[in-house]
Amino acid sequence: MALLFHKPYPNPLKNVLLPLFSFLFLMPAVLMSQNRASVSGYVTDRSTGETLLFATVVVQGTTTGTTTNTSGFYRLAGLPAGNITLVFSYVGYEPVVRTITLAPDESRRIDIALTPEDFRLEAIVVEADAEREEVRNIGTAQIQTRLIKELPSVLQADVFRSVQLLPGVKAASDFSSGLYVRGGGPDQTLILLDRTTVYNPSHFFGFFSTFNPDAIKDVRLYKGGYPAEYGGRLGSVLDIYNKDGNRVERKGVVSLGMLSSRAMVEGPYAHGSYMLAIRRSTLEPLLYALRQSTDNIPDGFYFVDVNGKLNVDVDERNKLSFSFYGGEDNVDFPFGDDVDFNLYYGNRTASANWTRLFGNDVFTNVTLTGSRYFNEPRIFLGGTPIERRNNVFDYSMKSDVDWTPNQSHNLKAGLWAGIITLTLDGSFDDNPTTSSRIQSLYASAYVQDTWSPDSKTKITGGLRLNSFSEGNFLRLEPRISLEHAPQPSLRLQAAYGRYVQFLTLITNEAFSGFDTWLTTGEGVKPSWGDQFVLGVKSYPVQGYNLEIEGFYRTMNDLFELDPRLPDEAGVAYKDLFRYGEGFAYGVEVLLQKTEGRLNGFVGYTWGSTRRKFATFNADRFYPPKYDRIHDVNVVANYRLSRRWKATGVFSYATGQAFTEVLGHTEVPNPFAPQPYQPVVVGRVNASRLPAYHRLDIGFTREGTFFGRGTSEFQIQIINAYSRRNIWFYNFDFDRNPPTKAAVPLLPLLPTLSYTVYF
Amino acid sequence: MRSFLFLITLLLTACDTYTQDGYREQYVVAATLVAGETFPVITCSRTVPINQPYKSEETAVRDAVIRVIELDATGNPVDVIPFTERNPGSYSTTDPAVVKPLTRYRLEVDIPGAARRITGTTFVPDTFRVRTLNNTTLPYQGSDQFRANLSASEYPGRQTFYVITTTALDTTLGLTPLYAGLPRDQRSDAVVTTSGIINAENYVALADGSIELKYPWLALAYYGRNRITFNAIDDNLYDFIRSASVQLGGSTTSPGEIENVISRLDGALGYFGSVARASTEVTVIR
Repeated sequence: MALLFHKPYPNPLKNVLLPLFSFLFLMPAVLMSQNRASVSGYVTDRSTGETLLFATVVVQGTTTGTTTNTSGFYRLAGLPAGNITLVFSYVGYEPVVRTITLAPDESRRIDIALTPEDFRLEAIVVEADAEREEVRNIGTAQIQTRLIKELPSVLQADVFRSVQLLPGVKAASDFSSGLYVRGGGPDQTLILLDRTTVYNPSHFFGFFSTFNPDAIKDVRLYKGGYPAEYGGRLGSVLDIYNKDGNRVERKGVVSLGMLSSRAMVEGPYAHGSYMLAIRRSTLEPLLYALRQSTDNIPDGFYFVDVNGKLNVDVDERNKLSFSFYGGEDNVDFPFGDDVDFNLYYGNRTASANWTRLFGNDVFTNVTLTGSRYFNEPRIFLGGTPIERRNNVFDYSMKSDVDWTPNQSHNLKAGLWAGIITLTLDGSFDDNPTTSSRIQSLYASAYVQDTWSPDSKTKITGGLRLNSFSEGNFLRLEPRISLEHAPQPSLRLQAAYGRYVQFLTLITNEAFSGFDTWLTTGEGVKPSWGDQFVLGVKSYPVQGYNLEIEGFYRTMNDLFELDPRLPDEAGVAYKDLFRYGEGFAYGVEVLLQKTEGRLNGFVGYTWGSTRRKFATFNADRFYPPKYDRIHDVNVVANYRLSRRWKATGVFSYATGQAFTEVLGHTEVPNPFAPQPYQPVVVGRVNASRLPAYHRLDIGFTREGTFFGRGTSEFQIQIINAYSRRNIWFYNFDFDRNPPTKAAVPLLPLLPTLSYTVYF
Repeated sequence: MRSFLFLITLLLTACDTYTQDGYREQYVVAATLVAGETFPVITCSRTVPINQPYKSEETAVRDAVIRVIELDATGNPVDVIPFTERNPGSYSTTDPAVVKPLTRYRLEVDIPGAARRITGTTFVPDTFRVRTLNNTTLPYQGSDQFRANLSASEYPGRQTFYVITTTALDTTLGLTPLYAGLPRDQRSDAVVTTSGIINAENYVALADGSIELKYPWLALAYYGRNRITFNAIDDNLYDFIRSASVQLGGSTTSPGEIENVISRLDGALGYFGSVARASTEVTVIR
């Protein structure tokens, strides 16, 4: 089946563009009818004033509904005049039911504030439960930041590690927070923070991500089949938004942990709100103590994050927001006599966003973004300095229009244009060895229509056009998705999309501190792929969601740095890479319990992914290391009492792929007395490690802090039964025959943290 | 319907045909021609399973018929240099012929009982020399470094690839700080240090085609007299060395993902490579 889609890039203009324009221009005229009203407004958190993204607004007793957009704004059009009852809901909040009377052609503004659900020991009984369902598009998953902070985590709560628990998302190892989504590597997922691209969202050598859970409002993962408003990556999109800041009162958080400590303050001011969060490692005392008795302990190590946001409510129709992020890691490591290693890397992002409502029909968003990633390893080895500096500068402007002209159509269109500059400079012994500067203009434009021919069906068709000046590439990406709800609690979904990627990432799964981005260019075509997704979403009983999704995706014209290239100096750009293809398929099942004293989810993935590169593995397809056939995650939260709650995570996955070493030999070395000792292997990654499983448990005690606020004391145990899962096998060639030893992953690891909310 | 679902499940879980293959013994051949020198020893041996010790006396291939054939520009044989077995698995020649630079040679190895002939070809890099050296004696990590001017070494279609080796000619003055931490039983390994592959484009190219090369301190393991050898390597050694150096890790491959080394030999592992060399001597003082 994989071979059917490995074709040269076809031009879909003829088969897609004309029908799509027909939808856009002909359907509104046919469907627009008289005496239809509309309702629009913002949905917010009553206690903080934060807008709620993708909250649900449903007309009671019907399947007519919508969700708020990424600014928390909703619009329902084509409503009948007269009495209607609207239900506003969001997971973790008490629903609001509002009955209104609409006049013909009336356009009503209704802003709604939802109250977070108070804890009750008894299960909540909710009427009109069908309206509590959360509309979720195909291939989409959402993680609540509250859950991120509650989940047992290695040393500290982490956004990416929480996302790794979702079906369809895999982790490479306990030491990596990288996201491997539906068979794709970390570079196939676009990471956005307040609409700004983040190029290396990792701290502490890739151990966890740069996203401070205190500063984050919403985390949404488009695992596949993502809509036309996003682009630039083959696989998926992780869309993260900073908090706006509490608009009701000033609040703050201070948290002390074993690895780092955090502080956050947010609050209103005369014209809006603000939020400022800082996180810094607190390992220095521990490192100092270790240095007194142990060799090869870093001389210095820290990481730091700063997130900030300022919101300006100009008037009822115009809002401005300014958002920034700065984070970095700096480590000084003496490896021995006359060897010193320093690594300094990090990210800076900034964005300015203007949202405007034109009437009550048209919502617009204009964003200016700036993003910088830098990576500067330096090693001083026996009097010889070896340095490299990699920088990515990405400045862009995005503009989106969201228009709901009637009940049947929601039109979106947008433009994203920018300039990206990648520089790579290296020197050996103060002698420049590499000096490369790639600068490319890029631009994307999209148009998308969501058409509801009846109350049970939605068809979303979109087209995205991408251009990239480095290599002079122009690519078209059609997207289409269908949803049919034969019953209110059952949704059948299907999607297809073509995706193009102009960037590739040089990385190592074991250590992301040296990540370097490269682009297409002369002789280096962009990667592209097709994705097919089928899904069923059901709400079989009160408080339960069931989702089943199957996918198949292709990857063509993959380009990545040749791992066997010893030196880049003087090598033609196109010869730096190896070229290949791949595919992935799978089925994901998510069963979620959203209410009650015990809640959580079970996620299961059955899947497979393969790659093939010329002159590698005898030109055969092989599974990358992170390929696991079966992957199960069970997440459970239990409210023990008013003050205590428990969380558990159990993960089970069949073994990762590895290469079995079959033989060995010695080959004389023409330059040294010691011979080469190459090993002989058969098929790359044709063997499987033992299964991986791990149980993490955590307990949280809620209390007060000297009457000045509330507090949480968390104790967590990672790998509670100390399963020594295997990372890879290592060979010792000082022995003859060589001995093989398993390199283990994390052992049992307790962590403590104390958090104060004021 | 149930039968259909069962069949699909069975197919999906059972249809993975990407299975591990078993160990297969292979021949291993190694030879490095050096421009301007007589023909070297050629070794012929076998691989062993990973769980067995490698003993050179047991893996040596005996009674092989080995020839190196000089080819002209059109690929026709010009001269044949025969090799005979001197020690188990080790073959040498008494032919006084010298390896010619910018010349192609073909290796042919016939092993009794082998299914086919082992062959390989190499194109010998052009000779070059160390034209000048800024200083023959310098203090270790002093204000100045050894700088050599090398004449050009031609290789058709690409830049020159170097491997630089340093051989301590006098170990009595002790190890430099970078190597001083080596265990005693490993200090003899540091008598010869070798770099990885270094592209000529790293260095300043002068108008006359020569390059100015600064010699890094990290390559010096011993104080005292050292011989620095610059080796310009052919494509076969380039492929073998670059693949062998990352076979078990490093670079961008995931831990445990291993590929065979690149052997530009038909029918065997190893290499039939060639180099051109130039050396100079320096003295490093404390």
